[in-house]
Amino acid sequence: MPYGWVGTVLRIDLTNGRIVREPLNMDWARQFLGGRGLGTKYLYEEIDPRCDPLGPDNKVIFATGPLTGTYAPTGGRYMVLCKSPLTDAIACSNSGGYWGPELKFAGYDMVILEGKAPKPVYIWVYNDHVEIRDASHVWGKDTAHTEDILRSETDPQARVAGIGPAGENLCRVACVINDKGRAAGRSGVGAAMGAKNVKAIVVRGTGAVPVADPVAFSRLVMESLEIINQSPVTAHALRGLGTASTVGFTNSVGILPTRNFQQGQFEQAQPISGQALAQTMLVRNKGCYSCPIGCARVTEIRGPAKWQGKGEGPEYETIFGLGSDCGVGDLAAVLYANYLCNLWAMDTISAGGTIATAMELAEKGYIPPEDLADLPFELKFGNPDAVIGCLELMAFRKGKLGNLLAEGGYRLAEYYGHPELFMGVKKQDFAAYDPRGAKGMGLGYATSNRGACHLRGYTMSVEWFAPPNQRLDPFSIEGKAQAQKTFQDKAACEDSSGICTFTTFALTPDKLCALYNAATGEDLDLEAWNLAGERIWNLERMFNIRAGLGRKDDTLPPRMLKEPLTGGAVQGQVVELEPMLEEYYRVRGWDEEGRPLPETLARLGLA
Amino acid sequence: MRVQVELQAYLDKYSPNGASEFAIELPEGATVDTLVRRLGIPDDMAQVIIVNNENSDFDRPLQEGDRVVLIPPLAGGQ
Repeated sequence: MPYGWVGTVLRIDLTNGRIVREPLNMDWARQFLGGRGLGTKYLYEEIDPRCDPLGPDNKVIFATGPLTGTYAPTGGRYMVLCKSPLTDAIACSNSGGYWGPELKFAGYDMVILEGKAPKPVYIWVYNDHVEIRDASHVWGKDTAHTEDILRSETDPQARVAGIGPAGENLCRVACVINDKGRAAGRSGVGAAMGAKNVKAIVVRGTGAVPVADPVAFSRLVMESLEIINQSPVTAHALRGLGTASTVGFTNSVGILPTRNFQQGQFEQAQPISGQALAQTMLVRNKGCYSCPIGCARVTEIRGPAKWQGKGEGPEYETIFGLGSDCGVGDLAAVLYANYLCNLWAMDTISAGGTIATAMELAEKGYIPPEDLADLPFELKFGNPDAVIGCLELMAFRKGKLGNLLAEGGYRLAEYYGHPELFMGVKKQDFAAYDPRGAKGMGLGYATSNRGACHLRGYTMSVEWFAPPNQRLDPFSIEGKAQAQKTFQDKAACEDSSGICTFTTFALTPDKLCALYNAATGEDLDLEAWNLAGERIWNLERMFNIRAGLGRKDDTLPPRMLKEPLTGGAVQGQVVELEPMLEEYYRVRGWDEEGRPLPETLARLGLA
Repeated sequence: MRVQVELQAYLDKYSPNGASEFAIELPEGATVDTLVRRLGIPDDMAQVIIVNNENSDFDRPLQEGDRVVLIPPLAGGQ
């Protein structure tokens, strides 16, 4: 048996109900590390990138990494890959919780869903027992009820990853939720699952993940834990305040996107900050499988609020998406909107971005009054009822506006004749860093293979979050092409390994590479490790090129290129994208159209 | 001279009165470095320094009425 892996892929053809167990392709696993990289390789080999993402020819892959289910710190991640219904590019959405490890304990490294079930089903996996079951009784139900019901009829300790009403209704910002509050959030992977009529994959496993060198692995884990527990970012910021710790910072410098990126500072940032959350509505923090950080927030709406409830969240990105970007500074409303996104299974970033786009379209008079006439709320910035109301329209495709919102911000803005008001790249909404105040992030958004994303190349770590003498000037474009490449390749390795990217705010790539080697028995040096990251990045790019994407899609909205930011330390800045992009293509070894050159593909073993 | 200070995120534990925003008296000629030492904040914990909305560093001289924001190592996402 291979180490770090359990050696088996579970392939389910939903059209005819055929279930096949096949050996994991270990050559591919070595070349593409696992998870994101390995899933991309399967997808690249098995589907036509020009297929309809909501059609039966798309596949939905649930992939784990070699560290998933080991006791490596944060070794609990899984990824959902498919052609994205939102971006029409590659989708790879990453989640924590306990589902990924459970899949490996059941004996599977990966699940591939093919075809389309004739009626709603769920998949029940208990070690060797794999069964396609009727899901008509949970179709239409939210993720929390669905999990309770499916556990009660399978195993009380089973783990559930599935979709809510948004995915069933093919909302393009629908996500996959596991363990009630963890999301494979981005790129509409929930809609791809819904299009296959699959409500959930329910898993229970009793096995274990073998590691090649348990002695070395244990030593590395202990060393890693010590580093994580001493790093201020992992031990203080993320554990104490969650990702929401960042609100005060971005608002102070002026890159907290506000009102669809019309401003970079929000006058009501304080009440929705990480500190305010910790002082008022935080119940406790929470960790995923094998996580020493515990960044997740368990929260409860307290006080005389219009909305009540409890659940998980918010993350920093949610506070931006459902808060500042919509001009909402009411913490109770943000929490409530977050809970709805968990229950109906929508990406809080893209749901928020879509609503913010709608608000600007409405305020500028670009939506005809008849399309807004029947709404029980006024569609305008600062109105929490509009955020909550739009989430419902979107998840359930209610009415004309609901149907348009469910298509995501780009298609909405395009329908009303103003695509320039969509704030994102490749039809996927920006995350919560205004790139005008961190230009490397601008290049990263423009070139991210899954559409705008902050985690694909987090140069924030060198543009702002570094000691002043080690920082790359956030306002300069110098060195940003190389920095993006480095961070993009690094993140590709991290995701593929099966650990959480937050671990790497403390652990350096050599540590992660050592954990990978000890788990799998491979002997990669740091150069080979980084090369694997570059290989993964280029394979994703090749998928997108075959899907019809190219240089025209590596761009930013005109607002980022032409309208200067007005407040804070970043005042007056725009993104000078073109020179960075040209340098980036050179650094990547791509031609002027952004296609990998033959010698680049040969060097990476992709020719 | 008196300057206004904001300690962000988990830096508030270095506040002289427990509040994240407060005023503090500093000698003439003081810099950000003087302030950071007075508050007992380790150098590597004051990672981003904003003075009157400008990106600054430890050597920045302070003046009466300045507003200083000190931000510790952070990262965020998801």
